[in-house]
Amino acid sequence: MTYFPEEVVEHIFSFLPGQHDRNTVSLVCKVWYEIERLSRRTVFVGNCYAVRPERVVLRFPNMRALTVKGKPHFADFNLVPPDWGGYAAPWIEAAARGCVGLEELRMKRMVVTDESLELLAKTFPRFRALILISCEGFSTDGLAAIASHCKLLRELDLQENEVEDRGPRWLSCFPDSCTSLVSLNFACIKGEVNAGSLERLVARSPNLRSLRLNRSVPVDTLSKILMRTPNLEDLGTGNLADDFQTESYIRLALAFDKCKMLRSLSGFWDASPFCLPFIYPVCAQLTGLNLSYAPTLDSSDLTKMISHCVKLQRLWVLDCIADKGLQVVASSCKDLQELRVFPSDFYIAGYSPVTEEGLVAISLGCQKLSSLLYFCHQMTNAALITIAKNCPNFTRFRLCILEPGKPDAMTNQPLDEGFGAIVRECKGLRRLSISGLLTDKVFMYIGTYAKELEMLSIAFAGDSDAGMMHVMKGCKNLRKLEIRDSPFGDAALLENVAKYETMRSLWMSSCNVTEKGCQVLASKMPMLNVEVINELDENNEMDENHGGLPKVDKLYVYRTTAGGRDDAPNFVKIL
Amino acid sequence: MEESSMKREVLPQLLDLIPDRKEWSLRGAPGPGRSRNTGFGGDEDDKLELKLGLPGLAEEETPATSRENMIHQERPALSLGYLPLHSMTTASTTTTGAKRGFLDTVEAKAEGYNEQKQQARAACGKELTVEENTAAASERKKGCCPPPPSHAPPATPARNNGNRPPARGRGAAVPVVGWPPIRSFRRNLATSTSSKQPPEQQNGEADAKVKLNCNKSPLVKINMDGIPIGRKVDLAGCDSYERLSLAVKELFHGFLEAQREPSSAESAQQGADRKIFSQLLDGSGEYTLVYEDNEGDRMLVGDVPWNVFVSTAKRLRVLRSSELSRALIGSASEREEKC
Repeated sequence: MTYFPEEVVEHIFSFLPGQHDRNTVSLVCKVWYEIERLSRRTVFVGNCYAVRPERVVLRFPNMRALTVKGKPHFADFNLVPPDWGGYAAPWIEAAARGCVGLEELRMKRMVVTDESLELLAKTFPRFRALILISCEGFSTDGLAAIASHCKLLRELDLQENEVEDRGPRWLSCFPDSCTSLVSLNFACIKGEVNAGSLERLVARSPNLRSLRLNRSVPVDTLSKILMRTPNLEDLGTGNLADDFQTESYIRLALAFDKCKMLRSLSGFWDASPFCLPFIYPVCAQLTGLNLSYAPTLDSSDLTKMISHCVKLQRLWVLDCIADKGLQVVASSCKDLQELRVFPSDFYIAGYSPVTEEGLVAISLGCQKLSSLLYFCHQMTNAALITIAKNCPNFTRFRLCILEPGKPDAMTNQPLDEGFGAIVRECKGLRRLSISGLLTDKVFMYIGTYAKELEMLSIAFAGDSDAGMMHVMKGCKNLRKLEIRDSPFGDAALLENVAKYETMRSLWMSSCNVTEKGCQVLASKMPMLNVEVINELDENNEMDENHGGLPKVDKLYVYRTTAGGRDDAPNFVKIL
Repeated sequence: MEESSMKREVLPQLLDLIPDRKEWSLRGAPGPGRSRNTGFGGDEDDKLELKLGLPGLAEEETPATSRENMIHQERPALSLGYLPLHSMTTASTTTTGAKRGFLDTVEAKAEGYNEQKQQARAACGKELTVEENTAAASERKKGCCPPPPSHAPPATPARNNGNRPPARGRGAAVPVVGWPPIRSFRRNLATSTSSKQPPEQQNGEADAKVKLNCNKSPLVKINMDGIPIGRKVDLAGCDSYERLSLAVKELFHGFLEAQREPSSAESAQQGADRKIFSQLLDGSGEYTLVYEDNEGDRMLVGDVPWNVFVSTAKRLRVLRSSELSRALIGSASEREEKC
């Protein structure tokens, strides 16, 4: 193989499906390493602190697409203090110095500043795609810079970011010469945009396939836009509130009628039930539907609409849909692969219209279901066992029972057997989140059966260190382990220290780990960063002391080639 | 001994239908290694020792989960009408919460209870553990029926090993930080749409500002006079002053209990505690809730609209009402000094 000309080897490498395989061929010999690194176009960095940005840019100078992820997953739920880190600037600056051919940047859970966005916009002449998910730290001024300077921009996709609103100017910054847009998603922008600018932008973007508007865009603007985009495949509506007269909705229906390519629908901000019938004609062609931002729709509104969506593969909905609504989903949407049911009432003490029965109905009707996120107030082992048998194809199973530690609603037993059935039957399970009353037994099941598991989220579960030890021993493919409020301590932490080098990260908060245990871990494993995150309190919380040793509030452990990071705030101690 | 415990078992027979609630409260108690089964036995003894009064007194959980709604439904059938008030106060959640005929549930539970009673008889020796359960139980014997029933207080938070939130199993409105695991984006969405106003831009921006502030500082420290340990409360997780008041009670109630003698007149204390926390906001109780805003001024909680309060409150304090005037004047004079 080494006698082939480099171009041939490079060409062969281009068939490798993913980064993992390219990493592997890089290890074969120096020649292959060189060929591979110079030809790698897409680089994925799962933890921004696992490697220095300069090193990435040095190794892959010809990369075109870079993905970087910052904060740990539990940052989504405010468990990571602000200013913890995850800054995008070093990455953008390093790329600006060493890789000006960069075309695409994807960032998740990172802190991005307007200055960085401006640098990005002005430095990379071929830049064409910016995707930011759950990021923060920037304002619409940064977006204005992107709009103004990225002449070849095709994708601007902003998903659930915290963006400071500095007015509608940014959208008008797309020059008239910008005609290349394929995807524009500004649903998370809180402020108004100029309707005229938006319509003109859409009118001069013949390649637009995905458009997600924000809450401020009124129905009439949506109708006008849709008349211009017959090839639209993915739409996030603007505001569908009920101030409008029927004519507006009729115009909307006519506009929808033109969109024969529409496959995915979301938005529905403040949606009035009266607008839904005007959308029914589109429903039969939809494969994706996100109604989870519309608490104004009740179960019957939702079910009437969904009953038309016979081709649906992905459904996100609020629990207002209720069990009976889920039964309609089960009988209508035979192709369903992904279901997410979000709570409309967040209080632990509240009440939810979906229960285990809805989920059982789904499992009976939707045999192709592989990805689930389900919030509810009660669950039973019997239901989980049934679900597991009906749907052995789960790759992602996340169940959140809103009341921590709640047992089986019928038998008052822990839910060990139910989740045990899930891991036993679903042999391809890669991601699992467990909840409810759980003992060490569930972890024994997970360690024994969940051999493909890559990510596990644990909250308020387990009895002793043995629980975590089962997982660390049995789950050979585990990459991310995140635990909160569970009685795992130093013994569990230190049982299998070598494993952490095979994982991306470990998160433990409000567990029984002490600083001493963390220090032992850090000293045994120099290739890990052991971050102890203790928000300082004048009056210390009661639970800080456990048998005389100070407990660690939050622990974040990750493998790294970069050593300790120098941007850590004072409440983060890197051992 | 046998005889008396047999007699006592007659009464709790009715209450055995709700053993699990007791379990949950004791779960946090001694030792993380304690298994569920011993929990069963201990709970039974607990009931044997303490339920000499009317069954009603022992029930004061929130109208929270649908499980508890089923419990409420069961009670009328089996407690011979002892607790009609409870089922009424939770009527709204009861009727919609039950997912199966409660008779089915009752039968299922009845079988479980027979087992538990046998365990209880076998575990008479565990009466010694009553001492530590007493404090927990006395908390539970709170006022039986101020409708809606007040929260069950955290069971022995002093003994809580910290791995379960004190309010677990109680259906309390105390927001556990970061729970449920919903992204802020979605949380803020719910709070801003619940007002159900037309999407005027001014409202949108005000909401946006509040959301931004909520994201940046979700946790506010709160201290109570006479209690050395401070807590934190998630203002974004409460949606009204009512909820906040309940949350404050939840946070500190256990500490007050822990400070008192377990053997003294429990019912008198419970009445007092109830009073303490129900009048935090109107100034008429023993304690008053105040806060420090972003300018350092001390203010009474409850004067400004909830949204404004959430975005400006930096620190909370539960003051003895007698200290109140001094505290507020004190901050005013501090301000003068700064000028």
